Amino acid sequence: MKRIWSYLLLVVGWMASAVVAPVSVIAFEPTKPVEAVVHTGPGGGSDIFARAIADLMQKEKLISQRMQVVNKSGGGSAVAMSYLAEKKGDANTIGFFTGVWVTNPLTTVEAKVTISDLTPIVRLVLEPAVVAVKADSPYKNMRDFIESAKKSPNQLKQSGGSVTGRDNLVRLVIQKATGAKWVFVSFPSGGERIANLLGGHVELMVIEPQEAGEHIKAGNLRVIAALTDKRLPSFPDVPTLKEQGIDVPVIPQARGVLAPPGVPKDVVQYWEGVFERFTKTASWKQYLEQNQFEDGYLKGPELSKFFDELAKQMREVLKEAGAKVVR
Amino acid sequence: MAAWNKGDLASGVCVAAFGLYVTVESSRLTYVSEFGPGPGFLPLWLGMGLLGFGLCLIGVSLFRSSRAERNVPGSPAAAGRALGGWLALMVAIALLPWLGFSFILALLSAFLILALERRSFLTAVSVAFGLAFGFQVIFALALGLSLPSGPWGF
Amino acid sequence: MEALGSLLTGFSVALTPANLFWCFVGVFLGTVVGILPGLGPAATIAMLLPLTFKMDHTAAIIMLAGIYYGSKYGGSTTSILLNVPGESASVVTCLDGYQMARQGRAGAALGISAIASFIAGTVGVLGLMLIAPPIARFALRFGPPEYFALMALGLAMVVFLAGKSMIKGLLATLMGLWLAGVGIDLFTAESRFTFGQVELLDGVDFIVASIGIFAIAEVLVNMESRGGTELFKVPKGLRNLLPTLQDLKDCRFAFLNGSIVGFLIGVLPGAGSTISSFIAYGTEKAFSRHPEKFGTGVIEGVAAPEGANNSDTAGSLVPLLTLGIPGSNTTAILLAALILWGFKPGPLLVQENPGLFWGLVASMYIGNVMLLVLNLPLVPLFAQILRVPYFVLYPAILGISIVGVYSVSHSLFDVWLLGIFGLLGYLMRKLDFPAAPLILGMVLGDGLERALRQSLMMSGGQLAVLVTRPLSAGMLLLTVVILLVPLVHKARLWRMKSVEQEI
Repeated sequence: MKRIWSYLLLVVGWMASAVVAPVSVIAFEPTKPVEAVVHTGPGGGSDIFARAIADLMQKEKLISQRMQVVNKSGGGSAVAMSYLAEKKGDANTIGFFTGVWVTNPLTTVEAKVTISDLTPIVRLVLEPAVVAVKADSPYKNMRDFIESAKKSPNQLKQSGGSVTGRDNLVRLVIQKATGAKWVFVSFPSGGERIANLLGGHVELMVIEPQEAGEHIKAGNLRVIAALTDKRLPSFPDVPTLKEQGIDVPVIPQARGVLAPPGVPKDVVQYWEGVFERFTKTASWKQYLEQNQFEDGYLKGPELSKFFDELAKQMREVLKEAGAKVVR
Repeated sequence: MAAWNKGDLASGVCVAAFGLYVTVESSRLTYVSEFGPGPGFLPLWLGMGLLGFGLCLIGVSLFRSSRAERNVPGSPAAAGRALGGWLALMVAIALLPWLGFSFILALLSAFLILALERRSFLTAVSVAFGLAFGFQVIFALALGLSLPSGPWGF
Repeated sequence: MEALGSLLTGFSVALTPANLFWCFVGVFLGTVVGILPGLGPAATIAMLLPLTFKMDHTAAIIMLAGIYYGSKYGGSTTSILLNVPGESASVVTCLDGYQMARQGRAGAALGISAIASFIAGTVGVLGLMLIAPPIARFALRFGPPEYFALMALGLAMVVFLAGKSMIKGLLATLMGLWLAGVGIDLFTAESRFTFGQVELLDGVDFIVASIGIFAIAEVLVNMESRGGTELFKVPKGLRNLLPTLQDLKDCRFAFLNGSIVGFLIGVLPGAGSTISSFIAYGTEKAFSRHPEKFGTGVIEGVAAPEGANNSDTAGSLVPLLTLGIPGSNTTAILLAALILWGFKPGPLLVQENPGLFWGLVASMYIGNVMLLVLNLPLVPLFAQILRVPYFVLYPAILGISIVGVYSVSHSLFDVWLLGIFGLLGYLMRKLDFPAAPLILGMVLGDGLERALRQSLMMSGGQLAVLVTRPLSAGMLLLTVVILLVPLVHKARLWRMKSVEQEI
């Protein structure tokens, strides 16, 4: 069945390449379908992101080959990263990273491949986040919550994902800055996190604006803080943490693309070029708006610097929180 | 003592030993973390449970008289055949990345039919070829699943 | 009344030729991927996602949902015929389904599975249509303590699965629970029992273990004697290949049980269809008049779990459509699809897009009829597979098992695990350890541990939280009752024995 579709896409792709005449001669072009490695199973955040990008790229006719999403889930991001490391020098493989690719190797002994072993290509988006509580909760802003958490330490609860994820790191930096203490309860699926907030089993959640939007409209949730540098256009009335007097570093959730180690320079240049053109297309802009993502375009040495700084920051935050940091 | 009880004794020993291993391993994990039980909490209890019930099984097998209902006896030859088949499967899996799925499936079926079933050579070859071909057509061609392939591309 | 009017509008949407066509495409593809072990609806929907951008959105969701519930129809096929679970929700179907096939009743088993799927699937859609918002609100009352109680209740089912020796049943359960714990710990990111293998960080895949323990072990047992076991009996004549009226009568309760249990558990985002199939099987056995026959090829043992895993799909659409909360991989992709198409999934989705919701609901009634019509004629056809001589069938089962495992993860490591679990399953069979409790432990272990630790984190270490909340207290009480059943039963046996001796 996949076969039939791939033939179909092949025909479409061939027609597309016939229509768009090559503008300039590029040194490298993928010669076979591109493998796009993600660290989640079908339906996971990274998987959906990669599939959306693959589809938009095809729509904009930016690559001559099909982009095929390959799910290498397991061990946080360890399985996907070691798979990419095995593909050393392979020009037809790319990977979609998130912040987990930076933090996971820090705490997992078995995850031997770190993000600096791979070849950075481009950072595409920064996912903003907001802090949400139930609509009938007494907390009107982040200060209320912090005060209450100070009065009764470890009584309030926050739902979230893995302890190395952004939502917990946000908790850790705020706890450190304010001295308040509350509990972080991990749930593996995003659905359970929000269900527990809506059900009143936890009081607080770090959530993406797109996900929160509908629940706010329906009157189920209230947003009490934006976890960004500037107020979000979709929540103009919601102040940032800094505005509320909580001075903590913004912990970014980035998504982007990288390549296996030891990839030739012209390949890197090819991918950088493709994604540069891609981020200028209208459909990309529309995608950003739809998902309320921030454009996070960054490449080359700045991207490597971003990774290094993020790793440093995360290492400190995790260490202070008492997590076992292994590298 | 009946074979039934011997089996119980052996499995009891194995399970108890495994339980001991789990207990020791999980005692190295954090038993209580920041809030509530840590990653070592459940495994420790599981390990002790395995150890405890494993010892129970040993006890029961030693003290229960042979009036307990007997299982169908398994002759050593029969078990040998099954283990031979299993070894063949494991060897086939080991060779999978080098020889490819189709070829391995053909080899494995030919081996099973010749060595374990003692059918004629012709039957073995035709079934082996037929299966390999059928799998290739259904799974690789019609459904587009990528199976491990050998140096010859299938 | 209001629902009826909306439903009529829904049918006017679903009955357009184009939507009927896409519904058929969906359920057909679903049946195919369901039959193949390994390949599941989540991967299929992800693969087809790009094509849906060009489609009408209602047509697209009708097709994708068709794949989802259609796959549950196909899932039982290989479980019954070859003892190879087609997907995780059909593992429990192996227990009685395969035994029925060995007794020459493969046709009846396949047929009842299609009929149970149809009935429960339809009841599930009724639930989705009539009580979605209140039941979704009810599901929100399930916090970690309630999930813990639910998992404990599921685990109590072990007393129905244990077989002759309770000690061995318990040992198998403990093994299963331990297996479920392998991998990275969600709460602390510590890794447990991974033997330094990156592949084990994500734990042991449940479907790999169950294919090994059921299918590979079965082949190994049959290798013991030359000439294997005799050929499966396949009765001649179409009439003998389908369930009889008596079968349908026997399954009355199973249909009801499967429909309700499946729907209710499906609604909970943290449970899943595998759990619902096990609980339906346990419930069926608990209320049966001949519980001792379960596992030897009882038709209710096929009908209940197969019904439950179909009703479950409709249930899992409840939180997705009414709250925008996905409860499984497949519903997560459906959610992503809705977002990509420009919808805003959440509490207002149904209000803002009545055509989409009611069109989908109506298409699910139609799709279930299509699936029944599609699957019943296939039954006699599939039953013929068992006419293949065993020396062809067994290598083929090995091949299908390898393909099934490999196609999920593309990892040779999992194929190795398959072989190891095959040996474990064989040894367990030889030493009289029941396999079902191990599988049950694996299914529930993760959720059980997680819910327990979440509950205690929330309560600051107070165990009381588990019994002070009415819902969890109720379920835990039921758990205790179930655990006491065998004791009472045994006491009664003793008394009867002593009475006999006196006489």
